[in-house]
Amino acid sequence: MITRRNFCKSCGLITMAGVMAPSFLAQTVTASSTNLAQGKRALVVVQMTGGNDGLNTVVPFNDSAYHSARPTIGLKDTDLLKINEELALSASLKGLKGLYDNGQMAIVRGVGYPNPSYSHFRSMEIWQSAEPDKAPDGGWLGRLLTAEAKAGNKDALTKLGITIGNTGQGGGAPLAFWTEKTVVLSFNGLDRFTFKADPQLKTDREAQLAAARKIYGVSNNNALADYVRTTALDALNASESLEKLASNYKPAVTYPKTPFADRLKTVAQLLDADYGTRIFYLSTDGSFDTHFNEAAAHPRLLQGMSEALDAFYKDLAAHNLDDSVLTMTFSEFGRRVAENGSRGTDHGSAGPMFIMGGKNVVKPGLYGTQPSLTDLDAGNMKSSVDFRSVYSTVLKNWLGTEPNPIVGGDFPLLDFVR
Amino acid sequence: MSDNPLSDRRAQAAHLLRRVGFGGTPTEIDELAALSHADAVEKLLNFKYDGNLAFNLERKLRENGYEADLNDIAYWWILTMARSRQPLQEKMTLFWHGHFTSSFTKTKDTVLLLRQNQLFRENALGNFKDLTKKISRDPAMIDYLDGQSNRKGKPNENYARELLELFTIGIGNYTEQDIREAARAFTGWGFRDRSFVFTAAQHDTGSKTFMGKTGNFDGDDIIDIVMSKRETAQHIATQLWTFFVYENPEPAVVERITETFFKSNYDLKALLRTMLTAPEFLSDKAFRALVKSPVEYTVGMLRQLGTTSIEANVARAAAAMGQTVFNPPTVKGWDGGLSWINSAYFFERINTANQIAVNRGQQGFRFNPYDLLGIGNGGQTPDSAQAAVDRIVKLFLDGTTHPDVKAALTEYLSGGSTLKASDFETAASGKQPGRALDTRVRGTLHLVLSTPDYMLK
Repeated sequence: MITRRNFCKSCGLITMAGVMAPSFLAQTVTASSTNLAQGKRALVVVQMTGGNDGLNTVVPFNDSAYHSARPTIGLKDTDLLKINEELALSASLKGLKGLYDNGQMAIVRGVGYPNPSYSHFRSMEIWQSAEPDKAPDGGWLGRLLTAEAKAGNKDALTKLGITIGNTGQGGGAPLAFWTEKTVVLSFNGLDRFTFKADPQLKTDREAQLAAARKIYGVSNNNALADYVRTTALDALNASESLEKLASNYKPAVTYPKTPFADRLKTVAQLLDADYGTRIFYLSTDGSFDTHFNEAAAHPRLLQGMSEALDAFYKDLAAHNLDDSVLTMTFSEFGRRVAENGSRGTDHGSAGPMFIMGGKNVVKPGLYGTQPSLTDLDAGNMKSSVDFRSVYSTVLKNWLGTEPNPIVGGDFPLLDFVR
Repeated sequence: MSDNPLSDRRAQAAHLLRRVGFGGTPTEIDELAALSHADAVEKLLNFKYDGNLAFNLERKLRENGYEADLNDIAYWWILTMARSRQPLQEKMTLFWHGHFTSSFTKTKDTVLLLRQNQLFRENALGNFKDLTKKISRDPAMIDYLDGQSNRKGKPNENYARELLELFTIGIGNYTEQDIREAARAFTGWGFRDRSFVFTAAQHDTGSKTFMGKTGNFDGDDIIDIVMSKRETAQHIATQLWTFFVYENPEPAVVERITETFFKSNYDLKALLRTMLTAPEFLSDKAFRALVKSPVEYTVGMLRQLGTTSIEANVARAAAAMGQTVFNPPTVKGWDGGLSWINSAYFFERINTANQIAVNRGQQGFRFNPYDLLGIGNGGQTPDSAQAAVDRIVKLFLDGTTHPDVKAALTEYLSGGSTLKASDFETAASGKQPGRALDTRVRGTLHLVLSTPDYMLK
């Protein structure tokens, strides 16, 4: 299994591009510019960490197999918001149901990949790298940013993609964003994203900052030190340009007071200021790893996500940005069809993905087919849509880039983008 | 780099202290540098259990009728790390905490987490097989990975999966069926009143087939079978090498340390001795080859600055850099390495360094920058900006950093004028006209603690 560390080690010295370029750069990424920065289309990827129970998210309430497999945690009529005679959203997803009814949301059912891994870490690695069959040599969004950089977009590796909050499996930046240099920005809040010096002598800050810039300009042939110092320079540059941006942004709605909602608010703020970021990567709050007493935890997790996304799209609409932002949710796997002995569910396979956007950009409705609850593989559903089809659709039909080099093959496109 | 910076005994001692501890003070480095490297390693390995600092916090809290929250115990542990005279004890405890993870978010019980922390401390360099059996009975762990609900006929796979995937043999060396069978073997292992209990009625006594062996196995049997596999020794030895020496050890190194660990029946002290006395440990490749974790960075600053008081928000500062002790993000702990470095964490690191450096009051982080410069404690007052920078670079960077970095620091500290010893003494007095220089002395410390070199170990 590749780790972030041996990824870098294989890079050798970061300053020597020839030595460090991972093979995918040379072999698979063509230099077709998508011109993301000039377009106005943004993508927000929302990670539901821990393995979301898709069956209690998009519920096949009319299937008796669902209720018999889940005698204690199966959702009853009062826990459901029906979308047709077969399927319902969990009642905790009131906000998303609103988006769905308003023609702003598509649901892709039964998404997974062949020979699923039931390890959180391996499966997350697969979703983030889009490489189910081998040790990953980068992230799918990292490949997109790298292609942009090769096509001459000088901000591609410093500004185009941003992760907000901790999205890595052990904290930090996600594998999805691994690039040649991994200088994707991430932050906890704009007020903390600045160089601080002695408050008792404010004039000293400029002198200290100048010294810091000199120090970070010095390479001493240590690849790790170079990684730190280039990250530092990128951070100082980003902080300066963010400070200069006259931010007239005022949220048009009251966001829920949660870290995830705060992250979405920062996305809206950066989009409103037209900072230049087009790819955002965020995770929801809490862990979806509901092995135990799922009925207590899962609805709360869904509700937190749903309320924040609902506020986000209302805010975007008020700023006339809703048709510029496509949001895609995913989790590393779904859960076992049958509940376990602790009123929870163990690790499973396929699950649903939500695609959200403005009314003029999303073709709402249901995509993929709902996997059978009786034709199972060791208690797990068989996926009907490969997640790389969803990625490919977003890449091709939303971002206008060639998906093959990024997801490593041709996958059938879906029709959820207008 | 042409010359190995680790050829000098003082540099070797400083390197060793960065790895087995949190970085040395000049005195600590000098003491070890007076010994051979092998003797220095032996001295650090044979630490005496530090009962003064690793006291029973739980009992103290109960006596005071106080219910500790996450920040209280995190603050306590960071204080312990910053003050301990047995840094390897705390370093190993930190390793085990990131290995056999349990989190406050899940367990919500600070007493259980403290007891688990003491278990790691007491077994820091003991036997890995024993520790694995003990942690399998640890209430915080049982709670964290749902052992309470792992019952006969209703197995919960959570612990069994992570035991195999993360805690022992590693992914790729077992089947999904092995996980299901191992879960059955651990049925009935729970806790009550914060103590381990085995409930026979909930234990599955049926036959289990695990890794090719069949029998009425219980949890200990599963652990014995896993430990009989050389892959387990390899997995753990490689993780410890990655934690203490450098990432991606060469196959020959992996073979050597696996052999030591497996042959010694999982003796951690034997493994550490082999690792720390390996020629690779003092090789050029090992020098500044690892990124300090937020806790290492923070505790290292507190120790090396000589802080005499430590603010209670210190655990939150480390958390903002990405590491909340007692609350790892996932069962895998922290990824470490380059995942500690991104623009947000970068600002959290250097702004924490700044917060400490500019604190002049009696509250919060208290330290005296002029002690470090050798003023007023029998040392020699620097007589130029360059002399002061040399001293600071010696204290925090083993004297080894790029000349251009020193030049930038010197230029900043001098503030455009020529500095004399009396200027530093005036600055140390805290009175005008030394205030501007005081800011720059603190600013120089801030800058040194913000260098890429200082973020590495």
